[in-house]
Amino acid sequence: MLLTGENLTKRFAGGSGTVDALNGINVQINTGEFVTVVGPSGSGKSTLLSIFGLLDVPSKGTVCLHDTDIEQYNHRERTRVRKETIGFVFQSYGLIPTLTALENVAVPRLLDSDPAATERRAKELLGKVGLSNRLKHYPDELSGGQKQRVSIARALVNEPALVLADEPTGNLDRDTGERVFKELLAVTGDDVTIVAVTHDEYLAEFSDRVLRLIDGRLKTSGTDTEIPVSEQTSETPTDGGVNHP
Amino acid sequence: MAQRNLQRAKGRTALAVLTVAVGVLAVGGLGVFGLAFEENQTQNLGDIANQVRVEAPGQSSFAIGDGDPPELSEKRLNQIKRIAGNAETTVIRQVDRKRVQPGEKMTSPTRVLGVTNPKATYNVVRGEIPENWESGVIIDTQSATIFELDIGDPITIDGRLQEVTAVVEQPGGRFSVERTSAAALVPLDLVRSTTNPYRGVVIHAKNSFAAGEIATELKSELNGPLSENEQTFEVSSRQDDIESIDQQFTSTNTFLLGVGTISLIIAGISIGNLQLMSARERREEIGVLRAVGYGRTDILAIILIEAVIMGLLAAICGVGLTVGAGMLINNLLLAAPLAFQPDTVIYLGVAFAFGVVICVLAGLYPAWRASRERPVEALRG
Repeated sequence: MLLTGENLTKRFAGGSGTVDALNGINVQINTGEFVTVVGPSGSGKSTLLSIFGLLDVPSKGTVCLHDTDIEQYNHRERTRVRKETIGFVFQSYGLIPTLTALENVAVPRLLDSDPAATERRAKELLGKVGLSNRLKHYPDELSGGQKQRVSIARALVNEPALVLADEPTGNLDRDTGERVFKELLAVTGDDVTIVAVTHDEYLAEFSDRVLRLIDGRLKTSGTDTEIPVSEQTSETPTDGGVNHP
Repeated sequence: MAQRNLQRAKGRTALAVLTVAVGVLAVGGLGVFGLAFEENQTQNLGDIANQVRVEAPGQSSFAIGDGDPPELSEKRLNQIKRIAGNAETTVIRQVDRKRVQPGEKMTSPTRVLGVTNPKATYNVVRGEIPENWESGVIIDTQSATIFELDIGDPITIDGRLQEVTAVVEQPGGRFSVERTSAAALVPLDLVRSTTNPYRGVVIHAKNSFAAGEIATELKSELNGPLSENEQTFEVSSRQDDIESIDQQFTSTNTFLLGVGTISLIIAGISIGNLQLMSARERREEIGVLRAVGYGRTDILAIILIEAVIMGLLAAICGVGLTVGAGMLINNLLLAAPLAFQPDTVIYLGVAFAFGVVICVLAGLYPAWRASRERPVEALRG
């Protein structure tokens, strides 16, 4: 098991009182799985992704990554684990405008001791996403789809076990989005787990499993909003991703 | 990355750098202008500003007071030499005037001065003062005219036949201790005085300020409260002039320091503001960096490096401007654009360091703030 969340609750205090962005979520994600999280705006998708990405902590509940409760990690360790284990793909790409495509891909490893190895890896990944001829281009010289492919390459530069994609096609048209999504699947190895947040039902169909979030809750088994897209096998979780006996 | 970040808002960065550069100019200009001003004043006063004269009481006709005047003894001479330190000195001993018999024709000077190190005090017109001043006679231009003497002419002093080796200018000031007044100058040890061991001493300090200090100390030691004599040693220097220059110099320095400090504080605020705005605009980017594995110290370092780069740029520009302004000042005050004083380098170094340090200090808070932001909040932009 790569990632588990138990009774995950995230509460935000606002001017109009407290809001439960997540409300008692139980989820398990296996190594190599491609899971999409769908739901309307404000349903808690991005919050769940932030917690999985060690960018935020739950108000209640536990998250285990590689069987380690992330609460044990201090700030420095979280940063290290994020760098070593997790790759991020953002809806708005998150590219640094002053760096070229190649440099953007290399950003997570810029402070490492072997810049030549980093450059080789970045070039290899940009080649895989079809941008070998755009290495020296700056983000404002690239199309939306190309930017997102650079972002995907950056997410993979550290060979992560988990890729978290927050609305990776949100800024792209349907065709481009589909192509980028397929590329994301193509360039990640079988042992890489992908959790992607999207509100595009069509794209969710590419995933092994869909988690439906509504008002901070995962829809339970047996409802028409919980769809294990991939073939429902005995291993496929049926309760919001949590296996039940 | 820090360098590229600065390049993305070139105009804004350039203005901030310029602000600090002006601050560096103000601080650097303080030093360069001050040094040029000091040199200018020194030049205006000439060598006289560097000289201190000590004269025993009763040597001039203006001496007043009762009782026997204190003499400039060997002990006091040593005291004077100790205070003068490394400064060159000329010690002068006056020998009694030779009495001229009625009807006797004067063929050589009737007055003799014994002097040490005459080269330091007297300006040679003709001939040469030997390096080893143990023999020979120096006469002034007045003696040369009156007695029709010139280089190589024989002259009898105290019964000893000597040769004129140099003709010197009459020193300015009718009452100065080194006045020659048609006297013959011989090595000090060759003459004895029956009245006063020494007439006085001329001290050549390294500069006007050192001269002022020596004069003050001499007055205190020779004429201080422990002195039992009513008549005092005359210690003269251009101290009043020096004090006036010093005061002007201090006022100018204080003013420039004020301008420089205000300017640099404004520049620091400008840099701090720029860094805050920049960090705010790049909030999402900083969030991305944090997400992909950059720690707090990495973010802190990136923003601080930006501040250091700006500081270095500003300091280089500021020092360049200071050198340019210094050339103008030198041209105005010293009539030589490249007449930089040796201490200029120190002032330029201080101004350079000040520019960099102010930028780093100004960058600390924005860097700290950006580094402390939670990545999830930074990613929301």
